[in-house]
Amino acid sequence: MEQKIRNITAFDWLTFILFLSVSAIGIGMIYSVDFHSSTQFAFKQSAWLIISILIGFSLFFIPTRIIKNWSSLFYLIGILLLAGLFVFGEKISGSLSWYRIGGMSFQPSELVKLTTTLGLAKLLSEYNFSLKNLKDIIKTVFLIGTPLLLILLQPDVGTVITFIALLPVLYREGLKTSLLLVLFWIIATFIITIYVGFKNTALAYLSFTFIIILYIFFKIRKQKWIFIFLTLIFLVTSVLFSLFTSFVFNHLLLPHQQKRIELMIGKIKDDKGVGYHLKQSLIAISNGKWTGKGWLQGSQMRGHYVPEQHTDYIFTALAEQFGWWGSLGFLALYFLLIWRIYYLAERQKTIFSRVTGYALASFLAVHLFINLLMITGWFPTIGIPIIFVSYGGSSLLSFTLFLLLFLALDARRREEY
Amino acid sequence: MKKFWVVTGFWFLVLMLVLIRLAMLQWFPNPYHKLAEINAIIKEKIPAKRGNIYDRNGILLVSNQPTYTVYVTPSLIKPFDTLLLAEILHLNKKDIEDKINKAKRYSFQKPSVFTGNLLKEDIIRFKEILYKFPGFGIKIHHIRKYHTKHAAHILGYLRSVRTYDLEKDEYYEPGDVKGMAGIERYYEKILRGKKGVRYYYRDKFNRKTTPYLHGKWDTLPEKGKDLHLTIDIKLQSFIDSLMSGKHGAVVVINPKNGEVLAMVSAPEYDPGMLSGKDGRKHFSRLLKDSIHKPLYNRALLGTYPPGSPFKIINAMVGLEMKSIKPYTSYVCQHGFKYGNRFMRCHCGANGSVYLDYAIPYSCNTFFANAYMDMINREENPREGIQKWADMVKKFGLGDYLHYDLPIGKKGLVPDSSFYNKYFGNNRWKTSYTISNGIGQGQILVTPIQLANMTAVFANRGTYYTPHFVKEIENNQIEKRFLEPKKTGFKIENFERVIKGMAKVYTSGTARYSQIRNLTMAGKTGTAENFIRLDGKKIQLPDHSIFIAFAPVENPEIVVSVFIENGGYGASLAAPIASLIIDKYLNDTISRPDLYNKVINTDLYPIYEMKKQHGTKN
Repeated sequence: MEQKIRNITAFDWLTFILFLSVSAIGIGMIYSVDFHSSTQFAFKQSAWLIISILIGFSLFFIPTRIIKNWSSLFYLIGILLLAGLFVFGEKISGSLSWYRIGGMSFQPSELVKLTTTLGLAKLLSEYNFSLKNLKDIIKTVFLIGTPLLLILLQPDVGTVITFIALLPVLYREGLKTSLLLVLFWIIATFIITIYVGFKNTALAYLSFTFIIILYIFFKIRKQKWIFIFLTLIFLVTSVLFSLFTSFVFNHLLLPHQQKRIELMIGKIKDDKGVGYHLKQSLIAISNGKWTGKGWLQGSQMRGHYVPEQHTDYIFTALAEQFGWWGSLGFLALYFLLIWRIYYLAERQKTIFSRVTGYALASFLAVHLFINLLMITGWFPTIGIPIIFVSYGGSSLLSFTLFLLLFLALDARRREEY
Repeated sequence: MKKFWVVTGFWFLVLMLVLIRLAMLQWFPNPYHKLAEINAIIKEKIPAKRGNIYDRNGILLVSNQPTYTVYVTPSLIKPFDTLLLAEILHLNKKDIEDKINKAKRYSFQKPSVFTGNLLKEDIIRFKEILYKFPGFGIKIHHIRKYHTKHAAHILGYLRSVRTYDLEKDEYYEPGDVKGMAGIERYYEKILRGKKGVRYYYRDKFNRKTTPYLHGKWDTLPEKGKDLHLTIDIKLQSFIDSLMSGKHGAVVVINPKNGEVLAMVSAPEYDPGMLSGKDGRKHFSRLLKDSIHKPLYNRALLGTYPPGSPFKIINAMVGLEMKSIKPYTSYVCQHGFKYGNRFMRCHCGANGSVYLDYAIPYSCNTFFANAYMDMINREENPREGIQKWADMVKKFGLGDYLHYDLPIGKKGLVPDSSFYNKYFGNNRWKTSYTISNGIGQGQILVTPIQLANMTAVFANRGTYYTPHFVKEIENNQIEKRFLEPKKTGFKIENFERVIKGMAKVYTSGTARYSQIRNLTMAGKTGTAENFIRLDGKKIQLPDHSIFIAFAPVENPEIVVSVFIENGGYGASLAAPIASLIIDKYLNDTISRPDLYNKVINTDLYPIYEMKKQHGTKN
């Protein structure tokens, strides 16, 4: 009994209230989008929220130890759910990402964000594990790579991209900065390859390495040949990766995904097709001006111009109705939530809890910011929702569980050792 | 804790980036703001009622009548009872399919006209069961309702706007009507009123949803202003009855202010014929009538040689130039000889002729001589003619009168440059142009110019631009109609000529058309015309012309009458003028004998014969 009371007092109400506020704003926005049509998205979202919270609180009755020990199992379930898609999944707009159970759809990749995190947390908290150890790094890459590969095969590039949320976690847990630079190099090569094609990229790397070799040759005295050798390795891997990218882009991605990526990096311009979404989104946001059109008053919103406004483009409804100031208020609230979770994560005593917290906060941030940059045209349109705000049961359920799991861990952090 | 700050700091920077991006979109004007408006709002214009048209005494001539158009939007159609629709709109099944296919070809989302020009009784049943036909809608329009069968040439008509109207004037939308002739056209901008506007939210299917901002910006249509014409519709219809069976024109003006009291171009047509369902059919039928040309406005567009009435102008110009004096006389021996040609004269004088005799008896010899003397005062005929033409033009001839109807003709007053072109530079003499002396030759006037010229005499030297609108719903008419135009001729010269014109009635050519207790001044005219038949010139009955004003001392009415092939001026045109003056001033017909004679004259056989021989006159 005493134990339970301590749990409740240790429960971080601030985070929970921030979470509730953000979710409530989301439901409000969905309602406003919904208002002039007869769909019941706002009601459904509320129902999902309540169910998620109820399930989430049940986690408080499970001892931390059990959660930790079963994490591998959860991770495995996540993998199985993803694999099962190729057998039982439903193909919606070209991607095999959904299960359809009764009248409802469920997107396992949302839950996999949680299960992968648990798997990672378990791995990182193993005795003697170090991210400075190559063997351990490879283990980590495999752990994260397996679900990512399965998601990539659906294919759902957007979700794969959100997993960059695990980078801050790895950074926090001791991954070298140089490895992050390697990652940056991979991303740069990817974009350049798509933009100018494989041949041009290879040529660019060739001339780049040539200059570097010249520099090394004339300026560096000691170990000249080692440096040149390393540079040549860099050249070969870059060209190989560029070739790989070009292959993935041209043969694995669907035409609409290619187009979105090309649109994002500004390679093509389009007003009618994929660009239409973006154009309408920009119109709606701009229409909000400083203070917005007022509750339920946005002309773009009422005209239902912005496609999928209740999901990926939910922020446009807020921006149009409440303007820049409203957006600022919302973003401040959301940022506070993210910050608070990082803060809570820092005060954990166990690596497991900290990894969970960091991953959660990072996922929230990655979704929020990629979504915002996407709908304002500074990031390719890849269809990433804002967690807790956009309409969608899978995401809401997964991340409410994620949050409450972390809060449960946090509430009992003193029991840990 | 360092890594905590690195991570959260990084996200904070991204947050700033997002806020800057939002500010770029929301703070500053950018093209997306304009796009938002286009996206979101449907602007629907509500047509305004046209202004009514009244006659000078407040009798309603033209008003509005609602008519209904059924619209169909193909994307909204659901299966419906075709037979019921066919029955209720009086269409057959195939029509319905055709019309729907046509609408589909135009646009799936936008409404297009299904069937139009329906009256209230046609639509009332359809309205009740409209819910059974999704995709169909009713829109109300206003068409003209005519309360008179006269004055069609003055009132004009409406027709649907064409593409170039839409390009030229933003006011119009497809399906609108526009004044195409007459008052309806000239006063289009006053009559059409101001459209109302309603704004609706538009959804992505281009459908209107709820009113924009609860109708904050909406405006109601403003009815066009009513017009009060200067026309006396009773007089107009009386003249119509006089003109039955004749081709020609009558223009009646109040000289005191230039108001046109009546203007008839015979044959007339019923203005209501061109309105409504069968309007187009009637229009093309009228257009095809090449014998009577009812759509041709002879009063404004018909250019004719003025004939003898022009002599009074020559008299005025001569007196003003002092080339003739009141006591000037010429010897008339049944004609005037110039070179080896001879101009006959029917004045019956056979001796010296003075001005006071020459006008009432229309002496050709006198005016031919007077004209020669007038021109030959100058050293060469070029200057003489030019001086003469300049003075003639002061009577409002040879140029547009700028009245408030959209059509007109300049007529022609030949001047020296005209003759230089006509005969070649300096290769002509005054005698070549001798016909000008008696109003024949190259001079051309329209009936309204003829009436206006008479008004100059009635006013002794001034005239007001003739006009057809007296009042624009409590507003004043154009200022230029209120200011008199001065010719600068001397009043005593006018009096001298008018004395002669009065004698036309008392003892001269029109003495049989006198009205008891009414002093009138007039001038008969007869214009010869010919047709060519197998290369031979055949003379047809002359055009009958008459001008008059009354009472002489204080004129209230000016009349010009032109009857194609009506014979001598005195035979038909003069009685008509007298009857009109009598009707207007005394509101009676004190000469039933004249009335019966006029009414019973039917010239149609002549016109039909003319047509058969294919002449233009």
